[in-house]
Amino acid sequence: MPIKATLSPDGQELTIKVSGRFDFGAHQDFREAYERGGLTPQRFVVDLNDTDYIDSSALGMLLLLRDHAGGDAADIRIIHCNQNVRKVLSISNFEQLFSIE
Amino acid sequence: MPERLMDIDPAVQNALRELMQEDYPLLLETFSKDAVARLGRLRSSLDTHDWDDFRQTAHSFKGSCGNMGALALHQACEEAECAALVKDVQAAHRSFDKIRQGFQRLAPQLVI
Amino acid sequence: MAVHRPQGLVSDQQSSPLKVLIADDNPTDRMILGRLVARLGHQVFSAENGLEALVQFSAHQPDLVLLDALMPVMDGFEAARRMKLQSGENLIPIIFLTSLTETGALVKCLEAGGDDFLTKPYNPVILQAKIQAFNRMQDMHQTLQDQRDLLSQQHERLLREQELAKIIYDRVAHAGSLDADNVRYVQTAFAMFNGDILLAAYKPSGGMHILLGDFTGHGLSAAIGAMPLAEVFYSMTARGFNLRDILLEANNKLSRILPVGIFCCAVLIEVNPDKGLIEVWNGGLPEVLLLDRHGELLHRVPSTHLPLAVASAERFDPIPVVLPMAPGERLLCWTDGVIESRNQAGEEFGEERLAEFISRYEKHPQAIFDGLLEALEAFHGSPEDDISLLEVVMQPCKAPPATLLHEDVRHLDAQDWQLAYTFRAASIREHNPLPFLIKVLMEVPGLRSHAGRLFTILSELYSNALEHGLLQLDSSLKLDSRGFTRYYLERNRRLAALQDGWVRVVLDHRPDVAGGALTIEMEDSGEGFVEHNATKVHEGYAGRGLALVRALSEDLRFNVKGNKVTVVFVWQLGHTASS
Repeated sequence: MPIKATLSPDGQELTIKVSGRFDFGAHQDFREAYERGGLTPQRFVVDLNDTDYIDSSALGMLLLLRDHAGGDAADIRIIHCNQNVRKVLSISNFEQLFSIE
Repeated sequence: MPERLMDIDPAVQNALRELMQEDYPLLLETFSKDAVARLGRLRSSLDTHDWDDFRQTAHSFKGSCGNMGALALHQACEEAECAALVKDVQAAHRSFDKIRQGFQRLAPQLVI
Repeated sequence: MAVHRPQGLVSDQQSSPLKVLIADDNPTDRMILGRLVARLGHQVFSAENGLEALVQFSAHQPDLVLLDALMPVMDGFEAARRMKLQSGENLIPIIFLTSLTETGALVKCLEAGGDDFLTKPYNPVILQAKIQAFNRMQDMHQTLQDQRDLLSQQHERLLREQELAKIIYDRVAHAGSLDADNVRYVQTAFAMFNGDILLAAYKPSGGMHILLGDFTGHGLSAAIGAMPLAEVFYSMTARGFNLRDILLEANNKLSRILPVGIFCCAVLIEVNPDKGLIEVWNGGLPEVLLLDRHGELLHRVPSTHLPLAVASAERFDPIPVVLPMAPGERLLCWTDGVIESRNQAGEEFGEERLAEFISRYEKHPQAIFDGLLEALEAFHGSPEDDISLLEVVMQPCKAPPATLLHEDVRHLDAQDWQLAYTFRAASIREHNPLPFLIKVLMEVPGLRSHAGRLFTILSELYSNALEHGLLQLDSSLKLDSRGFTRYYLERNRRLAALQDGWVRVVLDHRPDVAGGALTIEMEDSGEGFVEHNATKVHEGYAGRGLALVRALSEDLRFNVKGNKVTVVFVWQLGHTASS
């Protein structure tokens, strides 16, 4: 399964792990990962360790997540970015909106 | 001498009786009428040596004989077909006689 | 031929009656077979030869045909062939009725379009099995056809929508309105349709604004965003707004219109030949390069801003980088289609190759544009269809072109009046007063053709009042490129922190027989300047700017303190601005 969501035991943090290509094909699964009923975490973590490719539609998905998580008040970390992923994120200056590790 | 085929297979007739129900007599009548017409046609095409017509008539008659369970007639028709195919006049006459005689034997059994 | 759709027969129990055509020249066989089929629950139509079979076929459109091969008038083969033809793409199974002895004829049956055989004497079990099998097959066939038709319709609709989007986009998305000789660009059709937008327009004061954008989401999404963006760009540029104002408004508008997740990576450029500088704002596109006359890299402007329609109004940063640019120097800009162009092996052209390519053109930078296009084509193996490429060369200073402002419909014909306007700190921080002032001046019909000059004059005076009067910046900083950047960074910092101060503008117009005279007074709450030395006033205070104002006006003088300047602009009937 390319998208895997895990809630922390205290229910405060949701980790969404993306494997393979993070592109338009992942749209529905990514949304479902955080829109599932009953989930109200305070913090989000997007783990891109196994992501080898990311494009502008993925950036759009991250913006949707941010909007869902409270917009400017959202707490979202994007972790385990490889060089290519980091480059794509940085050209659009997404470190101004997300905490990127 | 080869075993003679029966004129009519009772099992088939039973099945037909059950299938056609109250139309069973009509079926017998249809078959009889058609058989008479066939015989007439066979006669005339034999006389004129119209082998195609002879063959087709025998073929069609063969089919309904089979469906009716008239096994001896069925075989006779097949022989007529083959004879016409090779244009064998003698064989054609012989098979025509067989058909005529076969039907004569059968006809009384087709009356309820 | 209309499609007959038998009701679905999914289970092994036959559930729905079919229409079955039986063609046999033997009445006995017809009767028996007909009864067998009827007993299975189906509706029977009969024919005694091939021709009659065809007639029945057309009239009743059966779901299944049982056909005797040898029939008079027209045999079964011919009838079958014609029935198949008539069915078109629908599947109407034909089962040939035959005797085992006719094995030679079996091939003929298949060739004529027969789908199966039923031997005489008829076996009811076999008959039923075959009918059911074919019924199931026909159901599947129908389902497939329906799905194919649905897909085909949706595909058609998608194509039509895309065509429509393309038409809308074409009208808006490219720099067709500008034929400037200092701008060269390539924007392929595919790139445009993939969401690239390229706009350019003259400012009233003689400079130019250029926008290169790349919408995510392509196609329809891009078409939706392109129109409001173009509208903002063109109307605000024509009214004399600067990049900062245009960016703020563009970000607001696009944020409202586009769905979350769709945004526009963009570079906005203001070319200012009068002042010998450019402003570049890069939000999401690859580095913009500034090369000197010899092709050496002077400066890079990487993307440091969030793209349009991503940030909220509070978070959005509209401040561009300001760089000096001398005549002959050039700016290069592209969307990621250039970098991501792929060759046959799937490799990207890439940033390194691009940088290396540019460095090879030292000494003849004017050939870079065409050279790059050739290199991309050579790399890709065919002309690249998804690129947007822009080159801007700084021209020597020219007089501003004739006015391009919209003609306002109201003709108040105000001729003899005075207007005084004071802008205080809060306004000064947030707004640019110039468009408003220009609009007022355009109420005088005789001034309309001088909009360019007037704008330049007001612009210069206001800059000086703001930067030297209120913000107390030292323009000697602007002598080199690093200084330039520091100057403008400092300017923005001080402007953002401005709490007190004001700028007062008095516009006074008096008509006369042959035209009119406009007196412009601009006063600021600053200290004025210390030196009253005449030459120092012109160089140290505002450099080239004031010289330009002087050239455009009848008279220019300062008050003693140095914080108020008065300019007189005279116009005459019958004399329009010359370019």
